Amino acid sequence: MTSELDCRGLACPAPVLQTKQMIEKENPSEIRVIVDNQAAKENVSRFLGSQKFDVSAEQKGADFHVTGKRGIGAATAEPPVAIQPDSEKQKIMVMIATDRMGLCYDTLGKLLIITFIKTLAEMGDELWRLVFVNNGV
Amino acid sequence: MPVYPEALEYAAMGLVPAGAYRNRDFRLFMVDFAPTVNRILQDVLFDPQTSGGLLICVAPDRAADLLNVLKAKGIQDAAMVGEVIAEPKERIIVE
Repeated sequence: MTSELDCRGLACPAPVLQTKQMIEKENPSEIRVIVDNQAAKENVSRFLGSQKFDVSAEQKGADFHVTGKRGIGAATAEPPVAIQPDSEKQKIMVMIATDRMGLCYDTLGKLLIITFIKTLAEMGDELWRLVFVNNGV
Repeated sequence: MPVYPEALEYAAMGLVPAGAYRNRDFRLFMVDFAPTVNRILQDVLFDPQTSGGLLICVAPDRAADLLNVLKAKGIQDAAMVGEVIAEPKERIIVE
């Protein structure tokens, strides 16, 4: 069965992260990811390659369909790269007190804080608390 | 060029910002990569995220002194990353 993921309209690194999550959750033998920009096509292709999929990509209209297939014996492929739990696990609290990252470039800063928050989940168990205060709410 | 090892690992996983591809498209025509500089390292070098790096140009005979001073001031990752040469013109040679 082919798992399909529609990542159109998503900016990097979201397509790669969503692909990673789907592989972790469903462990599909075949996956198709639809993206709408060249960078996402390249990144998703590269990610699937790093996860031992045979990758092909084709353009369909304004979109790209990236397909990954796992060959025979690939079931034993290593699980997607995850941060290895240390023996002494850290507890990390992230406190967000503003709605933008950095100063001066507000448009960029607002985009960056959203991307930052979206990628926090990749910290896994080490992420202990998320605290929003003041303008971060 | 000092590079975090994790940066190469993540670039190999496809965690490359779209801006890196745009930088590549913009400048590739004037860059000559040695065969030892693989695609992953190329993308890291084109990465728009600079981590606050500062590029300093200095006369060749002062460069070693500057490097020593920077290191003495605690900037351990300071490094000489290249030189400006007369020929070939308008080429960036990466080895």
